[in-house]
Amino acid sequence: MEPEEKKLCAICKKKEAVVHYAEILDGVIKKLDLCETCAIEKGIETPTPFSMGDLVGAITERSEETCEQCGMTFDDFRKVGRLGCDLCYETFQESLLSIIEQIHRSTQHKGKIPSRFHEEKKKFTAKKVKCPPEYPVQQTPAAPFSQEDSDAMKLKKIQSLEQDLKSAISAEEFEKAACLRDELKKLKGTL
Amino acid sequence: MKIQVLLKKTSEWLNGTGPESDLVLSSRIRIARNIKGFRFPGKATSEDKKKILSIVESVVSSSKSSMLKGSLFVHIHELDDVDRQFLVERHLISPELSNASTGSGVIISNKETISIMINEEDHLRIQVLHSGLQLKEVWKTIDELDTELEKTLDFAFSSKFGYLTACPTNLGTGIRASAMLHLPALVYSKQINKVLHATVKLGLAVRGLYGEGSEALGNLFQISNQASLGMNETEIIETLSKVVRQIIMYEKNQRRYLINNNLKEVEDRVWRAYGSLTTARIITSKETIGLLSTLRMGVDLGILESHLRKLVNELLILTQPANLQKNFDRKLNPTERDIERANLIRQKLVRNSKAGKESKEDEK
Repeated sequence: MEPEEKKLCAICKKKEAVVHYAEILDGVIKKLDLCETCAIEKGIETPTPFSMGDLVGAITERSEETCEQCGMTFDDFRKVGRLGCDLCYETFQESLLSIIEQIHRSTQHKGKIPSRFHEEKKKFTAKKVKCPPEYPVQQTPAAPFSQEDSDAMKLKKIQSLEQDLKSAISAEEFEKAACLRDELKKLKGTL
Repeated sequence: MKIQVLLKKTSEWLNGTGPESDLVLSSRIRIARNIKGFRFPGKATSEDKKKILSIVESVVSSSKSSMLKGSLFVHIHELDDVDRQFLVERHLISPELSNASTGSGVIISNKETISIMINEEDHLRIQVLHSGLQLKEVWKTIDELDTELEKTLDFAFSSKFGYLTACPTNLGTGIRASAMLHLPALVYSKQINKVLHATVKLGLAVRGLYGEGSEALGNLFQISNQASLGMNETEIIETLSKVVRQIIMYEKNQRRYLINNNLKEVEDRVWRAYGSLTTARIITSKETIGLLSTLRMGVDLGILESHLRKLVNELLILTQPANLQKNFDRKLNPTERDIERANLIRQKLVRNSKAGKESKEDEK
């Protein structure tokens, strides 16, 4: 076999091409092999030897966890170093904490809060309301369940409560929402 | 092409005014924001991206804020290579956005001080850029802008992690604040590494504005915060400002030393740089950046007239490949560029022919 021929830069055609650059424009892949000088002239950032993905991969454990909203798995994240959506932060919270701590030396936000978030929270915690008997509606059945069964029941109940909570918030029934939230908290605590 | 309008004027951040503008070219802050419930751009379908792009555009165009009046809306996929690079060179978009395809865009404010990148790494990257050291003012503008946008846009936020971003490095405030410093005397006296090392130890990031690896062409350095979570915006900006002020002081001391001890040597360098720039027939962008840095120092030290400062700032951007080609309205190969670059510099500098304050000695 002959040794592979060195590719010359597509722009200056003098120096060896060391930056291999591809872009997809309207479905057509355009490939460019450039030398370092021309790549910089063209404004293509040469790859840094150490990427975010490498860093994340080095300090986290493999995991098959998957985000419901965007389908990203924690392993995907370990490869690319970027999350798929806002819900990923909830899904992978446990695994992410150590990375976040490494990067920021902190895991608690201390800056600006969007005003709508403020308002939601205020309405939510404004006053302790007495929860009317109609919600939370059903009581957990007293029948003897095995541990597994009752956990499954609780999960189901949590899901339905969460649904109610969402509709209560969107209907701006904040008192009802507060009750549902408390009930949820209680229920989650027993799991 | 609509970005042609940008050519007619100089970006406001280049006007060479503002506090400490002799050493600090510009102050920049960008914040990262995402819209709740949508996948981040890296994972979004092009349909989603188009939707986000049109949502953001309609929010901005219906905003009554005076900051956004007369903004330019640009779709990246409609631009050719030169136009994309042109925007990168003018600091209006990032290299990452310049490689984006359908569904990415940028909104550029009237004076080029604000740019809102859409579907870069995050749904929104809002940037404000001012001349000189004015990080506080920049934050004020960007904070106001963000507050205006969040009236209609529901940003992804958690009370624990703050603003949720595609990359965990931007989490929390989503802020990256930076100042671009010109530090020729520290480089000349080989003190720069000590200073930069200390800066990194304080938790800030340093990189050369041009050039690769550790080489900083044009003695231009960008200092920025690294952590964005755990401190509030004001704390982040104040830490950065304090360190920048300290570095400015070192640079000034070093300049004073040069003036007192090596004046002739400095004058020689400055005038040789001036000579090269006003006479060269072929010049690369690398050589240009180096010589412009020396010229700038000449202005700062009172060797050259102060009106040259704005021109030096302008030339720094106008002599870069894509800006040069836009100016000529056609593609130029590298050799043609080097020739046209030399022509442009001569034109601009010779028009300002009264550059020097001839030293008294020369008149004797």
